[in-house]
Amino acid sequence: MLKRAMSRRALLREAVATAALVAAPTAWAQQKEEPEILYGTTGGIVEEVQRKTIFDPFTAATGIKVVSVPYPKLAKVEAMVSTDTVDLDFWEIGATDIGILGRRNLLEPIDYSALRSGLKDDLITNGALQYGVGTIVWGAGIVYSATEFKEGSHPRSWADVWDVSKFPGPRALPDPSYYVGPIEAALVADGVPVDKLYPLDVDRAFASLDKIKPHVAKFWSTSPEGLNLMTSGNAVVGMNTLGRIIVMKQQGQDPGINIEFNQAMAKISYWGMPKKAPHPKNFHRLLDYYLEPKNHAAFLNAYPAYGLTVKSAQQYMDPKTAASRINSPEHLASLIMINDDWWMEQDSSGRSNFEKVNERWASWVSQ
Amino acid sequence: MKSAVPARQAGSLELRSLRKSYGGVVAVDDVSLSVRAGEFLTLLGPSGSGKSTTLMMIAGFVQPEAGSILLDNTDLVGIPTHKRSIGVVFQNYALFPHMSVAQNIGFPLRMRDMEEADTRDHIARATALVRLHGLEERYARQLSGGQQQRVALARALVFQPPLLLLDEPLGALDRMLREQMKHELRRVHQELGTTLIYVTHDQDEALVLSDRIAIMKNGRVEQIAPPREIYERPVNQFVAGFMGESNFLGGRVVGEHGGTATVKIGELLLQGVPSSGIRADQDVEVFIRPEKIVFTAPGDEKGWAGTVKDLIYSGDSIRYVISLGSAQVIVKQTVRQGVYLPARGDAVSLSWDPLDIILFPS
Amino acid sequence: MPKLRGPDTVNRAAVMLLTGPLLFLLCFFYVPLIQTLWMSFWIDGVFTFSNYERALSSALYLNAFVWTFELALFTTILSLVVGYPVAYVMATGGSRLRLFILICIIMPFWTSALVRTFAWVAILGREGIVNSSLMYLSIVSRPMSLVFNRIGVFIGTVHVMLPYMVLCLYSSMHGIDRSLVRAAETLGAGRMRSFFLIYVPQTAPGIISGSLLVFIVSLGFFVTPAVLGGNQSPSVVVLVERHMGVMLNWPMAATLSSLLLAATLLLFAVFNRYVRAGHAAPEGQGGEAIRLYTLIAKLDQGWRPVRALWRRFSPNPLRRRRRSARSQPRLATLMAALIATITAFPILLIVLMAFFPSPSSAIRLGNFSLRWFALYFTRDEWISSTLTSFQVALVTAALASTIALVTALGLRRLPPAVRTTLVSINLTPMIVPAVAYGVSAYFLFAQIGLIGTRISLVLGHTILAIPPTVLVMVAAVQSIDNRLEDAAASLGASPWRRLRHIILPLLAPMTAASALIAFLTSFDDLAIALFLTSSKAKTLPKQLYDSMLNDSDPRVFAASAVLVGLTIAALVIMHLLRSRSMSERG
Repeated sequence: MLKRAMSRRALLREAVATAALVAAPTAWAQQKEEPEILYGTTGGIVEEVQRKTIFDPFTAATGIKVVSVPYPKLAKVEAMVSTDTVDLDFWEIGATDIGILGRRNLLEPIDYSALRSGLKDDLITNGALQYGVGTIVWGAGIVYSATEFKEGSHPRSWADVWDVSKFPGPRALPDPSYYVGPIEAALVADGVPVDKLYPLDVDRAFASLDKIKPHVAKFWSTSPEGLNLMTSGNAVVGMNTLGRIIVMKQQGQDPGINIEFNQAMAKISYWGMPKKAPHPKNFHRLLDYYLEPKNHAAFLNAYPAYGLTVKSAQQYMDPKTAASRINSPEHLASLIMINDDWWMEQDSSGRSNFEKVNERWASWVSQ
Repeated sequence: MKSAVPARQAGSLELRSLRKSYGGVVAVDDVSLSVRAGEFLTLLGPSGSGKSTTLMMIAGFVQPEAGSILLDNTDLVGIPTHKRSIGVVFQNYALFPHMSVAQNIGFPLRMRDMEEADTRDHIARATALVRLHGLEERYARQLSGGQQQRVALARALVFQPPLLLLDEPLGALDRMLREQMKHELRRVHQELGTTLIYVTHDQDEALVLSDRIAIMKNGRVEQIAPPREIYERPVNQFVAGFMGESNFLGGRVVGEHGGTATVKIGELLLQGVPSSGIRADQDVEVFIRPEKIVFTAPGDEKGWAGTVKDLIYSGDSIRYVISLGSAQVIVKQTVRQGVYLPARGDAVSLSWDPLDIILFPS
Repeated sequence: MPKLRGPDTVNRAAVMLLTGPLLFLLCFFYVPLIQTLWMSFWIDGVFTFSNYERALSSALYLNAFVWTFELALFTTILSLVVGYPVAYVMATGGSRLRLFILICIIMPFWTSALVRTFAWVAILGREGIVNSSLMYLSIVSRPMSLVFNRIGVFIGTVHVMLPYMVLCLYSSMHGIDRSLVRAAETLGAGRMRSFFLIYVPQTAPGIISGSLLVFIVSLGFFVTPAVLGGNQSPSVVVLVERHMGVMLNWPMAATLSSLLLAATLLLFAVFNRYVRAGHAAPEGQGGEAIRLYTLIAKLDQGWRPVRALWRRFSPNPLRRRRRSARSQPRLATLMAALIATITAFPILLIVLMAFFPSPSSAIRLGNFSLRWFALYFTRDEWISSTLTSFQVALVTAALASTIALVTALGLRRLPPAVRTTLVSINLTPMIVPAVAYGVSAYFLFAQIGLIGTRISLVLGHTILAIPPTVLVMVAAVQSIDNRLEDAAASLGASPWRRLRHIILPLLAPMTAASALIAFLTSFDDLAIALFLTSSKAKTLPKQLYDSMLNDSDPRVFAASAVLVGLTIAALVIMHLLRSRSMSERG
């Protein structure tokens, strides 16, 4: 107790010292670990499927239990690391989070040498980062009210979403503080080819957004909020993340919303590990297990809203789920992969494109 | 003396068959009475007798189920309180704590949108009337009980209501203040000539202040008459017992002739008592006030022999408890030189004027 | 008036009482907070004011401040207007009506802010029940814009703030002498004028404490304005959250938090100077009532010409009311019942949704199912988080209401200037954005080894609950007549016995109210839970938030339904027990 009650400065000093010691990524390789892993999760259906298809078989095979802990905010991760109270081995994060945390030395690098050989090449582009391994691909796309627009005569592109005379009715678009954003959609709607989006022409994007703004019921900031806008009839067409809608349909519920996969946007989610995580060895064993093509496919087949990150898993994918899978070969051609590198790019004053676009957005949106 | 706040001349009130009940319990039962303009009427009775409910119906807080309330021949039933222009002084004064004395007194004038100058004038005259100079800027909390009472009175009078209602206004004051305020009230009433209805359970106040007293019981008016008549000629046993001290002796009328009766109390025989319509062979209660009984010399043949059981000294007088065989009476004797004042255990002889006796049927 | 205790003993008692609560605040709030705010002066290890320069020169941040204060101000005014009749009816109506209103107005606390606001979007939206009814009745031809604008924002914020306002107002209405209003009527004041000139001024302490409370709680609104509002600037707390939670820009988050704190304290200082400042009130009591009366009287004076016209042209000055007028329900009762029902409505809708698993708005009888309840009751994480929330909220309620009671008693006979300062010190935890405090608290509890325990949640929630409970208790203590205590002293009661037999019984109802407020504050907290929950101690709001954000899990509806059911049952049982013990006592 007394030892723990030392000053913060001392803790930080110690943190730096420890960081120096573990500079070699395999420093933890000799460490003895309890047979458990702490998984930061928000729970829910995804975790249930993960347990059934990955964690339970993994535990059966290795005796290592996967324990759920609350999904942490970035600030909590920093607080945990700097006070040496890390209660987390891994959690699912985006590339931008990895960028921010990595720069602040809050993440443990992935030891690819502890994983199966050839994995790096088997992962999709940007799937193998220093501080994270891509584990799923998720996406957002055009969604429309099934009662308002018949399938076949529904909006098929962002240009259609922008065309209020052909497809009348209020829109629901995200706020760019939600990473998958309206900026890319606005540019595509304005005629920028999908493969020539980056670097984003922000002026042109805002000019395009000016045109649709009067018809937007609301720029939402969380995905369930966007979904609620559609199910409550406050918007008839717009953008939303697709996972929840796909799962609902698969479970036989009718959300009254349909999806158009053309020009959908995709992002990779990664598993990352904080500095001073208590069970780094176990975590690498789980990673290795999950990224086995068969195991990877087993999870994705049970949760068809997500796309693969392990290329060789394609052979095990259930063809019935291809239509709803964001990066299945049939959708790949028109898919927009969000470029997190551009968003995290900093200017000379240290401000990222993400910050600058959001500041501009805030004054633009309230005009 | 010039009247400080001239009252309106009118102010006659008539209650016709007023009735009110709460959840099946009758609070006011067919009350009718009329009050002359300028009269001081007291409603007197024990708690639960309906006097307060009657007052609240006149003020408009409570709506009667039946009957009418005529103020200067206008029926008030259904007219909201604030349009009735009846002054009310509450038992706890109900001074507004967030207003100064001047603001309290000026409140009814403000409600009538009186001009600034007139308002000041009226407040000045009202404060003078109740003798409250120099306290205008104080708040209620900073005043003594008597001062609060005066503010409440000034506030209820300042808008010259034809009728003023007072709900046990002196109840919270100490004895000295009560005496003083009683005389203040009398003076103000005489100066202004406002019609006044006064609710109390204190018979002294009623006797001192009123032109007439209405005795109430169980929602009904038992008797309404000037104080002296109420005291000396009560119409029934309740009024007699409620007002002042009294002796009641159980007896039987053994003979009646030409308006006078002979009554037998135990072994004793009373002659020449006004019969008040009571016939022979009826059981009666014989009523006589303690101060109407006097001691005669011991051994007096005509007197009634008794023994002093106890005596209570109260300054101006002594009350004797005398046992007369099986019965017991109280005798009130004024203390002054030359009056015979027996001691405990003494044998005494009592006498009274039969005309002071009233018979009530049992 | 002779004081029965000398100033020395008063101060000694105050010091004894106040030391504990102030130390608690110092250790668990001020020290960690200052550590965090101190970060606003540092960029990469260099001391600098550039964060402040940037915050004060950027339109984004300035607009955020303007909008935040605007939001708090209008929410306060509207809560007062809406809450007043509700509190009035609670104070003057029967006990059953009071129970009904209480159940209704605390309902918003039994669900997550996200669910609650989504329900409003569904109700007020284009195809919502309000617009469809109006269009069905041909009152409007096109749907009205009731949401994604200020109307929607204020409906949402007032909805949640109502219990805070109503409980404060109720406490000040409780002891008002009803004969004053009658007296005013006999003096010629109609119902409206006697209400505004006589009744309302007496409730000034409640109006002030309720408004202060709602104002500072409203500064922290996060989800509600974001979801129900239209295209407006983000509020300050949203920016703090974004800087801290998304961009890990601690210095900017700390800067914005410090600025919000400074601006609010400045506002309080101005408020105290102009609204509360010394009036020639007797013994410092009732000054607020006098001020408010003076203000209302001026307004009343302004209506003179209107009244003159009315008198001239009124057809019948002595218009009678019907005899039965008194037995009809009063206008205020109808209004209060309506407001209470509207408050409960979105939550009842959520409860209803729990029985109908279809996510689309169509609720068909054939869809009825208890599936979500089964899923709720069979999952450990739901049951345990519900239990944790109850445990934490109960302990928090006990701790916070005790601290508030002791603080209020300590402040009782101190000079007004000292009192004001100490009250501000107690209010600060609510002005600081909760995320900023949450992260500060994490550092603190990490240092003392309490991370991941329920104790840390209790301590954090107690800090959050101190401001509202202290406000309520200070108002309650101020309303006690000093003379009662003096009387008890003259009857030979020692200070301790005076406290036990006179003061505490008088404060009992408001202590219960403050405990309820603390309970609700704890039960509804998400910001601190985001940092302090662990696998061993996860609260229900965090669980709801995760599920809602993750996959709109309908178990959130079931959880709300269970909580609403439990609350109604608990309150009704309490009511029945109390009325039974009352009737037994005769």
